[in-house]
Amino acid sequence: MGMFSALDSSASGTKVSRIWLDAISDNVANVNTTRPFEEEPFRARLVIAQAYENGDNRGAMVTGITRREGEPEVTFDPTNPYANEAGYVKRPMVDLSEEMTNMLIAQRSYQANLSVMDRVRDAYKAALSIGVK
Amino acid sequence: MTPVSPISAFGSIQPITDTFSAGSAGGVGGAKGVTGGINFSDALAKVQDSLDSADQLSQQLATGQLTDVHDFTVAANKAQLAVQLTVQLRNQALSAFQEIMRMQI
Amino acid sequence: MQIFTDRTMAALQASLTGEAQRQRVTSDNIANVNTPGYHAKRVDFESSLARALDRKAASTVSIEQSTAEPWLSLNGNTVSLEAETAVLVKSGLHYEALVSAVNHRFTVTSTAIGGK
Repeated sequence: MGMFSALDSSASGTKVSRIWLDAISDNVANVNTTRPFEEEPFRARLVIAQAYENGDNRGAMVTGITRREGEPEVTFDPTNPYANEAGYVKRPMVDLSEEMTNMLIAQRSYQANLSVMDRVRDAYKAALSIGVK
Repeated sequence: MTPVSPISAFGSIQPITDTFSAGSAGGVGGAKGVTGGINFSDALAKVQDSLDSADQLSQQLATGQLTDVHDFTVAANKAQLAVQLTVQLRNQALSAFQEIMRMQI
Repeated sequence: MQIFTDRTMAALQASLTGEAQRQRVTSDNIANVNTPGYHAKRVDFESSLARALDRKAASTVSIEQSTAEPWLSLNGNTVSLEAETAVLVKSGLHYEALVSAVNHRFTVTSTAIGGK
């Protein structure tokens, strides 16, 4: 189905954008979450998206959700209940400005994919109305 | 009283297709028929062809194998217009024939 | 009468019935998008219809319902809103195309009958 595979592609793009938005909202909700010093700090979720091609079926899919790697930032905050004896606390590994930027990109791509679905549907209906008075 | 001479028989009535199928459709050579040479059997065959092709595309649409829906829509419209045109031609030819029949009497 | 019950009309009607069932099942899936443990259902009538059209003798078209492949989800719910929306849009468009095909048949027949 020529036109219908366009609908499937935009549906897959919408799904990827939505999963990304879910991950971003999770990260933003935990921007201030601290945990005891011995435990792992909160690490931001990162969504891995890849293109897939299966004959006529093309689109994007999420192949995995990983956590941000690296060493957490350690700050001096003795008033925090989770500070260790020296008064240090591990910050959650979430960069708020990066998350907000990603959120704008994810939202725009969600809207763009939905707009593609609308246009494909309009084109199909226009083809059906050929000759109708 | 003198016997009335027998009424001569009418000339044999030509089948309608003969009257109308003089030469190619709208052609120069056939000026015999009242409709100016429209070949109805040819036209009907073409109409049947276009209806068949629209049918074939309908079946593909039903099973979901049709890649481009405009192929079907264009074929369906062509078939409908061909049928309408043929029906109009038949109506015109018929009314012209009836006109002539009225004249002769 | 042959003009109303030939293979094409039968195929179009079977397809319309199948698409209507697909829309019902998909709406059901969307209504259960948050139900834990709910598995998304799928409808397939195309394969049965294609087989019936290939065979020359009369045969019936069956509408098969199945559950979609499960994917990793938090609460066992396998409904993906985007996929269901796409199915609903495609089904609606296909339904409109089939209606247009049926209308075409009836228009041709009524033109031939009415002579107008």
